[in-house]
Amino acid sequence: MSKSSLRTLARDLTVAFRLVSRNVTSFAWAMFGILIVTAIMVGLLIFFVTIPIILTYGIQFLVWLITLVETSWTATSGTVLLGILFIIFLPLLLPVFVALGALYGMAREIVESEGTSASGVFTWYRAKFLSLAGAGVLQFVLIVGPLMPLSYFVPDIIMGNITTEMMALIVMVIIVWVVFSSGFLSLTFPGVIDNLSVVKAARRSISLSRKHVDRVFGIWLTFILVFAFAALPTILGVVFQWFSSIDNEIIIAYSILMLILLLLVVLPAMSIAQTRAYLILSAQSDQSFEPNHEADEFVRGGTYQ
Amino acid sequence: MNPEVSKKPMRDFEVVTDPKVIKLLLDTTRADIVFKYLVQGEMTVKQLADAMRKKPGTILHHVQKLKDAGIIVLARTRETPTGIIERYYRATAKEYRLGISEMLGVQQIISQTIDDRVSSIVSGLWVYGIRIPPEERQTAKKLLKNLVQREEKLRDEVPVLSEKEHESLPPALRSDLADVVRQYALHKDPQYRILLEEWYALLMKYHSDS
Repeated sequence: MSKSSLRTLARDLTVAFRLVSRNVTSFAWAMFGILIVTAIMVGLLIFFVTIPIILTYGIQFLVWLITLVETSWTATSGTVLLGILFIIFLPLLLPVFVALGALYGMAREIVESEGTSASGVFTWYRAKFLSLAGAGVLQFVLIVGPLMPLSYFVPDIIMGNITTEMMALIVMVIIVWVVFSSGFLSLTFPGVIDNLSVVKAARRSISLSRKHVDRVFGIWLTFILVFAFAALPTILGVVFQWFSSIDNEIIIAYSILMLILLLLVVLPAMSIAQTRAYLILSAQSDQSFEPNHEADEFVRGGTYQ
Repeated sequence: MNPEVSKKPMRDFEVVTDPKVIKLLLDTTRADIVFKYLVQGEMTVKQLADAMRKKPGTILHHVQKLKDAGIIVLARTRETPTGIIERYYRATAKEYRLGISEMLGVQQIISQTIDDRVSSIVSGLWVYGIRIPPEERQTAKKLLKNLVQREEKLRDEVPVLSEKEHESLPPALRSDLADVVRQYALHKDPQYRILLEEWYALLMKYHSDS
């Protein structure tokens, strides 16, 4: 990464965190509201899926389904098992995708007009529900889909019939693929907020990421590192297990603090940084970039279709 | 690929015929965005929101709809020293007419609008000392309406030899040139000249100075 790219990244991050700090109250209320709505939506989805199944096939069917999953887990049909889980969990993720996408709507308001309101997130939630859900599904399928062949190893992993080296290799492949594929698709939500169709937004995200790999991946990898730093010790409990002297209370306090920071600061900052990058890079792609001064760049834009 | 570059300058006049666009413009906020502000020049969402005393988010949603409909375009994008990315939007034309032969209902509304305008003009002439008697008012209105319609028709028919050369001219010069050429086109049209002479004759007949 060149010096100018590092300077650009530093500015992207500084501006994003500064804008978050100015709008932290709006983000806090929006996050609070959107989490409640998402939880209700997931609850409703579970309710409306399980109740018709019970009414139609009886409670025995659910028992049979769970038994089937358990049986498949220990059998060799890892791909089938993951396929079933894929189909079951994907609809449950839809409200989460929409919630995440609506956050980019707020980010767009901040980046383009300096301000937003907590209620703004629900306007985007309603106005772009299908597009944001579609964008989430497309990204999920594109990122997770190609990893399906790895499910061949699931039974061996469960039964412990796999070497440490092989396991390390699988984990590496998964991490590298997820980080890079999601990096290429990281501007999809800003595209959808910009009124592009789901497929066009994904295409545009890939195209801009390829042309401006340092800027798009600079932002993406920075936030991945922040997420990893904040979430890895908490979720996996890996690091803290090494320090047995640390009390559980400290770990819990750390987890809560990190969760609050992630939801109220890091996630909004990421959406703002990516939305800014999208607006700048899409304008650059269409006409020559005309920098005025170091921090007062002038870009000729174009007509959006 | 989106966005697509549009170097097209702001047109002097545009006829909106797409019923979907007309429906879109029936919303007062959207109509104000286009007809009150963006026909005057480029503005950002923030500037529009401040001018209209509305939330930027609300304006952004309207602007996106208008942009998708092709009635406004993104003119340029600018990064401010504080890192805000300002997108400047403008209307595709300085003036619009809803040419809606496809929509009889809307056409009636527009005809009504022209009739109202003409009627108001004829009735208001007295402040300039031109008092058209009630029995002549219908003739005056008909004459003025024909004149306005002929003018509008001719304004749409002013050709440009080289679109590329025309686009390269500064906007202010393009506007001045359009005015001069439009006057010339009107002067050349025999039907317009006859209508104009009849109209002037009527005005002179009832002008208090005459």
